[in-house]
Amino acid sequence: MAKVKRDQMKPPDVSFLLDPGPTTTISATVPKTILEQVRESVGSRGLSAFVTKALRRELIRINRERYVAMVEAESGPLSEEELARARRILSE
Amino acid sequence: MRTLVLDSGAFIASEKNRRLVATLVDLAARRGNVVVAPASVIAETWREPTSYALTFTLGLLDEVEPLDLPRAKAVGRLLGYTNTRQIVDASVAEAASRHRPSVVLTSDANDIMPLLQALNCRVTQDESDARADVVVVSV
Repeated sequence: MAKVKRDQMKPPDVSFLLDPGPTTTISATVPKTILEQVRESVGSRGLSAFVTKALRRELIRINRERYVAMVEAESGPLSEEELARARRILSE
Repeated sequence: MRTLVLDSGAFIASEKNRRLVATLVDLAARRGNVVVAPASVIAETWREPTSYALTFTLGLLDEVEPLDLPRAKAVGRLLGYTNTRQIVDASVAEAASRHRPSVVLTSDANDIMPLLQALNCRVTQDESDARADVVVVSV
């Protein structure tokens, strides 16, 4: 059975989904080459929207990992049979 | 790539259902399938103080889709055409149709399927029917 840390069992703060609220300015250190590629793709004006989207996606990914960990802690790891069913359902 | 549309049943999930939701979401995250729920589903299920499982489920979504004017009109048209009254069911069917190919996780399959058929969706409960527009999965 998967080991889940206590803080992983806390439900996530989902307020960003319901109401993202006001914006704030941040300072972050990122690799220059990545930033150059992003600016080339979206331009300087699109940078905030790009960063917001990336941060949001990462938060959702973390929430999903925590949900799976919570379920596995409750009732055991997801089985290959269950994953095969999910693959069948999502296939097109 | 099928979009996963969560109905209220996916939010108010028993332990067994939570495993199905977890498996689908886990796979969806790895394959890039989008997971959404119409705002009306949140209205139907959200209470304060909210439950632990409900908050967790909400955190799985890529998007809570607002019931804006165009969607409200589409839902109203569907209710009128099918002579039904369930706004949440119609919102879920409208979302699943708009996102087709899609999967609906619901505890109201018998109510959702006729609504999807009214929207000219090829709808099935056969989980291995890869050609269907919408696969309806009971939770």
